[in-house]
Amino acid sequence: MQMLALRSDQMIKAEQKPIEEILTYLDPYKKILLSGCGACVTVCHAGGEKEVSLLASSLKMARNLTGKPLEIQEITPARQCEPEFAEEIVEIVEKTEGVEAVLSLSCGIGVQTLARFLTKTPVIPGVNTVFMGETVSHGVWEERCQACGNCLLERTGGVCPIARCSKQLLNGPCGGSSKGKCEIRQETDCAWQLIYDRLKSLGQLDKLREVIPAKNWGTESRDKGPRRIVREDLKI
Amino acid sequence: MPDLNKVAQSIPLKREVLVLGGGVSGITIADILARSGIHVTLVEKRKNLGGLSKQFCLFSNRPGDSDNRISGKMARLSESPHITLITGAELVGMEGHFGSFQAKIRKESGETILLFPSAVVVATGYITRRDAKGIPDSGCLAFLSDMERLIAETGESGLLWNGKPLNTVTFVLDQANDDIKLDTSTVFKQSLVLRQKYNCQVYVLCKDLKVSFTSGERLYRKAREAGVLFFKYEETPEYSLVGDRICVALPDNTNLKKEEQEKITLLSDLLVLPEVCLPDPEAEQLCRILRLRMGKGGRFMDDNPQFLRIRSNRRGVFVAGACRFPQLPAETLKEAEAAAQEITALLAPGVYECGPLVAEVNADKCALCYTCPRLCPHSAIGIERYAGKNVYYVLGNGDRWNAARVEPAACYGCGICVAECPARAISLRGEDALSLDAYAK
Amino acid sequence: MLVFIPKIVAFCCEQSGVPAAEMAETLKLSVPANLEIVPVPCAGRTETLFLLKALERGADGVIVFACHEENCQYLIGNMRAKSRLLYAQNLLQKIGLEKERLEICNIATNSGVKFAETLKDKAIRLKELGPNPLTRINDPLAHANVGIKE
Repeated sequence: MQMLALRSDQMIKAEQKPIEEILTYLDPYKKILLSGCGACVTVCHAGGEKEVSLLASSLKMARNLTGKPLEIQEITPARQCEPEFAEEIVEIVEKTEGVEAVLSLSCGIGVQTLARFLTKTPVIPGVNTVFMGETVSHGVWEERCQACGNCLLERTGGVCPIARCSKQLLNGPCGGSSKGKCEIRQETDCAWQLIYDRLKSLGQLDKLREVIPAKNWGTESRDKGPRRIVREDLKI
Repeated sequence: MPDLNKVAQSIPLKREVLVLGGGVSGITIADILARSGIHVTLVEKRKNLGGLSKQFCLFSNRPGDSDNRISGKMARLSESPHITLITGAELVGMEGHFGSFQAKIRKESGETILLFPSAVVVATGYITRRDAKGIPDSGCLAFLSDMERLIAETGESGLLWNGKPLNTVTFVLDQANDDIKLDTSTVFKQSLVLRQKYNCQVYVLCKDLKVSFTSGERLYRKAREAGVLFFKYEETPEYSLVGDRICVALPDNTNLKKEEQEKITLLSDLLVLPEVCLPDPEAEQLCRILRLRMGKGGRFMDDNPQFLRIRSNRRGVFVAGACRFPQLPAETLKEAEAAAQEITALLAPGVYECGPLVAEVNADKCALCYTCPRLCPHSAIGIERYAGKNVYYVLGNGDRWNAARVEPAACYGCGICVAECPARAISLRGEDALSLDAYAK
Repeated sequence: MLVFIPKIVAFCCEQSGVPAAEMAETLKLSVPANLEIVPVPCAGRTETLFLLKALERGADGVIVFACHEENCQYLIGNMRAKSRLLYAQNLLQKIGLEKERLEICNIATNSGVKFAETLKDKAIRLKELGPNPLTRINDPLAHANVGIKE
């Protein structure tokens, strides 16, 4: 079942859950709908059509070996995080006989959007949404943004100390920065070294003299609950 | 649903070739192609043609001969109506694929022009470096190209180096380069001239004598018979100055017992080393522009026997001569002839029939993950703007969107992209789907 | 007497595996019975899914014939096939199937003998491993990979 694709966001990086874990969640069911997603999880090879068919085959074989066969209907809609797409999947669930649960390979957002509309059928996540990140090289992704709510990249030469500094320091490296690497994890580049190098090449080292005040984690980040953006001008 | 992948399955080919590099290979290829009536644009980044040919006795045992061979071709080049020669110019960009190449050349004046060749030949050669590391500075060191020039310029009189007569010469192989047979061949030829014509004492030091080239063994035997003395070494010899002569010291490897090996010292008027052969430092940039694969050590193309001699990973792009790997002049010539022949055959029909197997992207499913353009070994996939009816029914805005696209003329039908696409958006047109059906669904 | 004849699915690259298979045929070398050859233009065309599906549909073993390393006609196809095979083996281990059922063999066009020998070895090892556990679950006598030994 192919829904039309949109040029989609690709920033979310996810990883398939260990199959043992998925099998535990699916234990009570005999027939499920396995829904991939054509957006972010396709791009990081965690939940696109290819992964859907691979997972379906693996799950079927695993369940056959335990003597409790599992019937799987496979779909890969373009996205799951828009209400209209979620409603399409609801239609499919209602039309298909006997679907007891939906295993969704979309990110946490997609799972929740689907769950909002699919009130009578459990929606089970098949991937772990890990981070918002960049492609370092093909097949290698790294965390770059923590959605802190108040981007300070202008002051740090385009390198984020919140996402990339292990201690989330806002004003310069700690004493453990050594040869450009982090003392917490040696493979990690010291974010403040990167910031220094970048500001230097931009001729903006002066910015390091400006003290970045402590973040208001309460209003800017999610520490006081899930955040919301409202655009009055866009409301239909 | 419009068939966005519907493109002509046969593409027209003009008899138009771009040759990058005006050394031996480039000149030879251009010469042959032009004589078949194919138009060649030869682009050379330096002001003069000839590349490194001036440095070496390339075509025979007689120094100076190489000039005649090449100058003949160069004369034809400038006279031929089928050749456009642009010196002091460089390739700065290349778009498109086989059948639709768009090459951007920047001339010396700064002006850029666009060319539309049907085939491109990379013949950019290599560079040399004179490395005197470890040798005391004394005026007793020369390189192979210096010796070439000396032999060419010296007539019947005796050989003079820095005003002094040259009686003993030592060559050291295998220190500057690994496995460059051109060094060995040049040293053999120069040693023979030094022995036979000028009666010099000649020593040749080597780690392993690499004679696996045409006449290699014969030249070696001639050199031995003429009295050239060969010494084998393992660790780098010691160099020092004794008076105004250079001294090379090494253990006598003929004695198998290391402790009992005596030290051999060779005193000579001149030490001659090969120049170090290095890939052109701009090779990497050129690889990127041309979307070619980089080989080991910064040269063009992998070390894959399927691609030996002239083939590159891209259809319509050829790699010829020393830029792939420095080789003997005779081999370079053969390779250039082979390249010219293959290009002539490719362009002769005036058209290229794509297929039988060609990959096709279903733009609807493409998530623009960039897996296939990165992966395709033939650089046949790009991200393009598709045009078509507005097929969005929810959030559509406009009728153009970006998706991966396989250029049929550049596709080799291997199916690697088909198998790797995370959205399973690519299919292999022309493949017998039935046999794979059982395993694909 | 019923005897287990392992079903082998061989994905054969048309640049190496297929010519080797043809050579084996010309030389009249014996290959295991119950062998299915699936030609692919390049070993790199072999999807990870093919390897799993073959087992899902009852094959006892799968082998991919690819060109030797650094010899691939399409440069990286054999390496891609290898990566995918390793990934599939990992999956198999997690779900309780023996990873030895999947195998990749590097071969050249003129290796008809190697082709036949490799398959013969595989059949022997599969016999030791036993039938695909998925097929044992169902009626073992209706197992497609069982034949009558005269």
